[in-house]
Formats: sequence, C-alpha cells, structure tokens
Amino acid sequence: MVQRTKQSHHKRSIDEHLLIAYLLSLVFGLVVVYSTSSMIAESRFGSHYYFFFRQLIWAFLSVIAMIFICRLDLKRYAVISAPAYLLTLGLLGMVFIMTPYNGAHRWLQLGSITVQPSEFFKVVMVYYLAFSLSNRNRDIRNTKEIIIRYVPLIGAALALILLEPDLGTTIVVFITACMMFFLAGARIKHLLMAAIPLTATAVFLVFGLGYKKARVIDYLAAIVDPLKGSYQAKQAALTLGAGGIFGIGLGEGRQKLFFLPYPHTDFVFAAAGEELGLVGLLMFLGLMFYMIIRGLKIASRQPDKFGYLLASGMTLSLFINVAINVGVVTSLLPVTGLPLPFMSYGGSSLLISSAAVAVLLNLSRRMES
Amino acid sequence: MKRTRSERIRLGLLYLAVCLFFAVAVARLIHLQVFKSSQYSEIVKHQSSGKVGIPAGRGIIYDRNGRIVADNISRSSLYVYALSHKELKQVSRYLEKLFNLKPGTAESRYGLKVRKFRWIKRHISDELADRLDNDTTVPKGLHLRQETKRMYPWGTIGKQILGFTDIDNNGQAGIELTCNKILAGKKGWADIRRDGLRNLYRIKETALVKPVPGQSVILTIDWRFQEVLEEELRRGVDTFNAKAGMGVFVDCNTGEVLAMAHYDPSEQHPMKPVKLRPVTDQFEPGSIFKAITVAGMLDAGIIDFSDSTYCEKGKWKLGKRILHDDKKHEWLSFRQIIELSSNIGVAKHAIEFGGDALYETARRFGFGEKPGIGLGGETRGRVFCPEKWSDYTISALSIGHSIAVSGLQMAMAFAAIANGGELLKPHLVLCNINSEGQVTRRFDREVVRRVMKKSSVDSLQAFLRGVVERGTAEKANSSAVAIAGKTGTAELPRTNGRGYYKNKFVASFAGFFPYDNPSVAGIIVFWEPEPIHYGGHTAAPVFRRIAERYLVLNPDYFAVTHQTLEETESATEKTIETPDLVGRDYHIALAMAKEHDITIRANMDDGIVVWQYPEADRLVFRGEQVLVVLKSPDTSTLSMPNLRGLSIRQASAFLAFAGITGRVSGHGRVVKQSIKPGEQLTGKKICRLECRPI
Repeated sequence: MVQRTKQSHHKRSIDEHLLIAYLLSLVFGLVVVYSTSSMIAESRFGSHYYFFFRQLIWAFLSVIAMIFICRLDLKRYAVISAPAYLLTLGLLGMVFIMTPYNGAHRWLQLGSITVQPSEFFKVVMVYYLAFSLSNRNRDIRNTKEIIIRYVPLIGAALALILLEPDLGTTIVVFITACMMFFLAGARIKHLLMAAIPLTATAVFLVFGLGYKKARVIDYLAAIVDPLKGSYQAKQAALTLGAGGIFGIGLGEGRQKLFFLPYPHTDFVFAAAGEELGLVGLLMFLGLMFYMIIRGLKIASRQPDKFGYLLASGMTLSLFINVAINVGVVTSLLPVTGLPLPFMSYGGSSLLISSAAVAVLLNLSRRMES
Repeated sequence: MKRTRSERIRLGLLYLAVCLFFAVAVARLIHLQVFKSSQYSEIVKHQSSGKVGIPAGRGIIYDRNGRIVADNISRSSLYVYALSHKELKQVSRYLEKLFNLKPGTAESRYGLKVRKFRWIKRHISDELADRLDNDTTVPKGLHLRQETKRMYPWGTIGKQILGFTDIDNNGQAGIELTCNKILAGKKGWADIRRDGLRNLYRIKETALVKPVPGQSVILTIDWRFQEVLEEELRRGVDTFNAKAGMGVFVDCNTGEVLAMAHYDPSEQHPMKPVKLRPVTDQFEPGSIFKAITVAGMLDAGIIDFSDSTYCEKGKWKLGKRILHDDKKHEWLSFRQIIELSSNIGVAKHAIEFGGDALYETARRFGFGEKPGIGLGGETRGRVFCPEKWSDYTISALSIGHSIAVSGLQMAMAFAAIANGGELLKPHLVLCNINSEGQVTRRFDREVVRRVMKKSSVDSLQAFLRGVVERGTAEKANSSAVAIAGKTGTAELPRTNGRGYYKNKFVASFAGFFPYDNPSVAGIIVFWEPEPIHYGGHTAAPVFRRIAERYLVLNPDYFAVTHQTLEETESATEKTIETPDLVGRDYHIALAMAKEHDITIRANMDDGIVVWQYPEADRLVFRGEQVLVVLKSPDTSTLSMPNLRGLSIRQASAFLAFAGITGRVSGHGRVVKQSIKPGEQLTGKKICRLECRPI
C-alpha cells in the first residue's frame, strides 16, 4: 500500500499551467495592492510603499511555503491533521484574549506580525476533513456518527469565528464544510438538516424580529439598482462603473481616495476595476476560473478518496472566497468583510491561498490519466 | 481508483456551480462597467471633483499723472481646517499659546469644528507669517493662505474720493465702490479633485477659466494738488477757527475734477471716508450765487452798465422784512454792486428780472439736478420755486438764500462762467486701462448745455476779476496769477428750518484762474469761522494760496518762474529748481547741490553721476534730498544706494532705473531694503522694500 502510494506520488511532474496561473495572479495582486494602497499608506504611514513592501514579503514567504508544501507527502502526514485541527481551534479561542482591533477579535499578534487564525483554520479544516472523511472506518451516511463526531468539532469552530465577529469567514467555513460532506457522499438529508434550520432561523431573525432588516432590504434593492444600496455597496458599484471597459489607468483611481472603503483589502476588486476596467477584471477572473477548474480536474483524477477530497476542498475554499468577495463588491451579495484571494492586501490570506494552490500542485503529481 | 458514479455527479454539480457563478459575475460586471458606466462615471466625477475660485487681481488706481494711489499688497491669512478632533485639539492649544488666550477658549472663540473652514485672522503681519512659516511645531490643521490687501500709498490723502474695500476686496465706498466692477475683474475657476474626506487633493495644471484681472482706473485728480487742498483746508479751519472746510477744484475746460475734499475736525477720522461731502451735502451758498444771478441778467440784456442804483444806505424794507447790506452804500454802479456785494443792489435788479427768470437761470446752471459725477449719494441740491413770487422771495434767491447747492455744483457753475458759458459734466475718471495697458474706455469732455451767451461771459468775468482786484475779495489777489471770483458770507440757516442764526456764518469764495485764459475753477467754503466770518477774509486767501501752489505743481502749464513766486509775499513755500547733475563728477555735483540749497544722497563716495531723482529742472522745496547714482569709470556695474528714509516714489524710481523689480510693503518711507547698501547689482532681480509712515 505504502509502496503504491509512493509510486503514484512520482507519477507525473506538477501541473505547470496551474503554477503559471498562480504566479500571474500573484504578480497581478502585487501591482493592484501597490496601486490601491499607496495613497492610504502615504496618508497613514508617510510612505507609499508601506503596504506594498509588507505584501511583497508575504508573497516571498508564500512562494517558499509553496515549494515546501509541494515536496511533502501529504497523505503520510495526514494523521497530524487531527491534532492540527485542535491546535487551530485553540488559536481561534486565543484571539479573544488579544486587544480588539476595529472592534473585532480576529488577529493574533506574534511579535511584529499579525495573523488571522480563521484563515489558517480554513486549510487545516479541509485537510482534516479530507483525512477523516476518506477513512473507510467512518460511515458518513450514519446520522449518529455525524452528530457525535463532526457537529461538535465544526460547530465549535463556527461559533468561535462568529463571535470574533466575522460572519463572512463563518459562512465560508460553513459552506466549505458542507460541500466537502456533499462531495464525500454524505446524505442530502443530512445536509438539508444543517442548511434548512439555519436558513429558517436567519429568515425569522430578519423578517420576524426585524434584526438588521433595513440592511437586508437595502441589499435586496441594491441587486436591482446598486445606487440604492448601503454606502459601501453604492461606492463599490460606482467605482466599477467609473472604470468602464478599459479603466482609467493604473494609479489614476479617484475612488480609492477615501470614497471607496477598504480599497486595498475588502473592496480591492472594485478599486482595480476602476483603474483596469472590465478588461483587467476579466483577466483576473479568468485566472481564478482557470485555477478552480484546474483544481477540480486534479480532484477528479486523484487515485484515492483522500486526494479527491483534499483537492476539491482546497479548490472549494478558494472558490467560495472569490465568489463571496466578488458577489459583495458587485452588489449581488450583502456586504460582508472578506478578502479576495491574491488581490487583497493581507499576509494570512495570501499565505493560505498560496498554500491551497500548493496543495493542488502537490496533488497534481498524483493525477491519473 | 476511478471516481464512483455518485462522486462524479456531485463533482459535476460543483463544476456547474462554478461555471454558473463566473457567468453571473461576468454578466454583472458587464452590466456595471459597460451599460452603467457613463452614468456612474458622471457621479464619480461629480463627487470627486469640484471647482475652486481663483481671485482676480484688483485693478490699480492712478492719479492723472500716473501716480499709484491704490495698490495691492500680498498678505497672509490664517485659517483652520482640521480633519479630526485630535488635530482640532492641537490647533486650539497652539492658538491659545500664540494669542495668549485662556486655555480651552480657542475652540468656542473661533467656532472651530472638525472639517469646517474657519478664518482665524485675515492679513496677519509679515512678522507673524514668517514665524509661522519657520515654526515646525505648527499643527496640521492650521494653514496660511496668501491674499491680496488694498494699500493706499498716500495714506489718508484723497481717501474720501478713493473710498475703501472690505477684507474680501469688494469696494465699499468712493471710487472703489463706483468702479468696483471695472476694478474687480472676473474670478477664474480651477478644477480640483477632492477625496472622500473632502480634502482638496490636486489642482489640475491648467485653470479651467482663467481669471480676468481687474482693469486699472486713471483718475482726474492730481494727488499732489489734492494734498495741497487738504493741507490748506486743515490750515484754514485751524486759522479761522471754523467748524469745517470744503473745497472743489475742476479743470474748467474739460470738467475733470482736480481735487476735492472736506475737512471736519469733529469727525473721528477727519480725512477718512465717511462721505464725500462736496458731492453729497448741500448748503445755502449766499453771495457767491450772485454770480449766477448776474449771469442770467446779463444774458437777458436787462443791465445798463452806465446806470447807478440806490442802495438804501444798507437797509431796505421789503414788505414785512428788511434786507440788509453790510455797509451803508448809497449810489452804486452795477459793477460796484458786484464788487462790493450789495444785497440791495442785486435784489433791486433781480426784482426787475423776475422770479421765474431767476429760477430758470438757477436750473440752467445745473442747480436742482445731479451733476452726474457718478459717485454714490450725489445730491441734487434744492431750488425753491414758490407758486407766486414776492419781491422778498425773489431777492432772497438772488443773493443765494432759499436755495441749497452742493460744492461740486457750484464749482461746475463757475467752471461754466470760466470756460465761456458751457456747463460741463464733472468727471473723476480719465480712462480705464486693462492689464495689457490698453485704454478700454476714455471719458471725454461732455457738455451738459450752454448756459450763457459768449458775449455776456466776458462782462461777467471782468466783474468777477474786479471783485478780486478792488472788491470784497482783495485778499484773493495774487501777483503770481490773476484770480477772478466771488465771495460769499451767508447766515447759517437754523437747524429747525425757521430763519437764520445771526452769529453763525458760512464763508465762501468761488472763482477761477488765470483770468486771461481760465484753466481751473473752484470753490472754498468754511463753516462758522470765528471771529472773522467774511468769505473775503477767510475763503478768499485760502483760494489764492491753493491757486498759487497749483502753479508750483504745474510749472509746465504756467510760465511762472520761482522768482515771480518769491516776489509775492504770500508764496507759501520756498521752492527751487533742481540742477542737472548727470555727467558730473561727484565732487562737482556736491558743490552744485550746496549752491542750490539741496542735499545729495549717493551710492558711493566717488565717480560720475549717471542718474538723478528728481530729474533736472524740477521745482522742489529747498533742502530736498536728491538721489544720485554714481558709477566709477573702470567698472560696468552699479552698486546699491542706501534707500532708507527715502519716499517710495524716490526708491521706486531708482529701482526702475536699475532694472530691478521693487516689492514694496507698507507705506510711508523706506525702513528696510533687501539688497544692502553697497552691494553690486549684477544679477539682482528683486528688491524688497519695507516702509513705514513717519
């Protein structure tokens, strides 16, 4: 068995197309981060390059991490995913003893750098679930098994992230987990049992008790006419519209000057859309689409269930991040703060997205024709 | 290991979801970035850009000889625009320290708020501006803005005419108000970019609409003559113990006003522009009006010069009232009636002339209508016209009572007598010139109407000359210039409108000079001089002194040498012609200066004179300092003279000669110069001069 794995491990070289798409995204993201953050960096820190240099360092670290991950035998080390999961859960708890930033406990201060444990949790969870759900001793079609083993484990993490509060990441984690169960062959009944009560509760909270009803109504109106949405949604739509087809030129953006909120992080997609236009955004979306399709292909050609689940899980986590961020920026989804992989400023997000691609690259070597 | 069927289906669904999402995202982006693009671009453009006004430079006001009388200087103004409470606190603390305010009071005192523009102090001193510029601890929200401020280099002289501007350079009175539109120019607009915090972010390189600088205005006033008039009025009011004095002088051939002032020491700032009373206020003229009465009668041809009139020994009963003369005249010829200013004599002729004819004459001479000088608050005066004329009402009008006129009206009436019978429209502005120096509008001589036949003008002028030569205005007789005119000594009407004060008078003299070829007409009035209250003893000699000093100021127009002036006992100043020093050795120049009773200031101790100011053959006062520039034969460069203590005019003349731009701040005399005395001038472009009134 071990012998066979080793053989399959060396079956092919890595997926060069995916690697090139990844490197292009990385460069694209660095350019956009510089362009959208320089004015804010200048006004806050007195240097145009403040954010750019940090992002450059993170990109460098990401590439190193990627090389490292590519060389690992992921299946052999899969057993450590369970303790890693518990460790990350512990880190998620630790953020509450840190001083809050912008009113939220999302970050852990480690010396001079800050990390966001919830970002790490995403990949660790995927790794753990791929390991756990591919175990032949687990019967994931068994209701009791799911309730006893998985609901507490994942529920605890969701609760901690929700309390930070970080609704966006909670949703990403929840959907990723559900989708992995779905792909692993879980019963549709079980998935509906998770989804229906949550949806019902949400609908009841908003329309029954009126919790944030105005924001939800704003959001619904914004789908039709973004100008009727919240300030952030409106500015994001205006920013995109101002870019037009070809954009107004790199660095020329007006909206990033304190009209558009978080122009270098959560709304970077809009800020890039103003400067690079529809053409630029389609290029980026094309890269993302290509990477995701590539990821799914890698998943479908894995020799075993572990590889299948790990590849599809990593692809999913990337996809859901992209989908929610782009949905928010284009007023298709309600506003929630979530970074856009590769384009948003932020080290944890870049490192984790790179790690996800690295895992895919690693698994691409095990592909069967 | 192949995927199971279930796995393949589920993965296929995921594929589908991915494709669906990307399709929706692309469709949405096309919706926003293609179809909504133009609408959204407009909104973004609107919210991120704006326009900001660019002030246009205000035009300069010159006098008729090109002297600058209203100019602009650059001043810094202090304002606050704080972006946060933290910044606001820092600014408040800084201001409290700067202006020694009680801690914590600055915010309420200046009404400071976050992201609100507030002026702290407009036009701060250069000293403070320099200090703030060099102070690195000035907090972020505190800013300086360059503004221009109106500056009047002649101080209070002519200030009543010029008026003033408010702090935003809008004319508020006088010429500044009347010509505001011309002076102000047109504001320009520039595109600016704003950020989401409403900060001005960038001003595009080119202005959207360039400001059109204001046009300059050249006045008809001769500022040195204005200075003379104001000085003489002040002296007259002091000497004759009068309440107030007023004077108007016009060029009788063109209607150009040469000088005009009012002096009332009881006003808080006697020479500051409250009102230009010669234009806005009216008074009962008294006997000077007899000139108008006589003009009408001469024109009507009812006067027989050979007849004599009985003047009733100074008391003539007219119905219930009695008309008085100052002296007990008996038989007087018509000429004597005027020369001696007999009320009874004039009244007897006027009754013959008739009330309607008299009223018509007054109206013809412009009384009762605005002269049209174009200043605010111009009075039309008041001409009394009863339904039925009685002998008394006729005689009152004929001697200048029951009529109210402005100083300007009377000056224009005498100008008509002087120029051969044409009433002219008075004007204060010679022309407007734009920033390129082209004349955009010229104000020419404008005749209102002919008021006298040419034939009768000569006789009237001769009578008026007689008044000065032999009559009541002997004190106006100058040996330097032949003056003609008429005195007036009117009782002041009671403020309640009933009758007249018996001991309060308005003394006046109106006339023109030179008699042979009239050029200037004018009027001088003193209110309530005591104890001597006759116009002939108060206004007349002041008129004469002003006329004589006019000649000194305009030596080119009048072939009057200083010798003739010296002969007249009344020459008020000792004047001298400057010698021509250019081309002479410094030591010879010194000797010449000593001989001419002037002093010399030079830039070096040795060399040849290459330039002097005032130039040669100018009339100057004895003891005047002449600035000369020396050059040594072996060098080609000039060195800077010491300009301290010189007038701005003198210093500026030198800088113009040396080809250096002068930047003058303040007014008065030079106290500081940026190029030190003795420095070589090669390569120097700008010299700053700081001036202070002495």
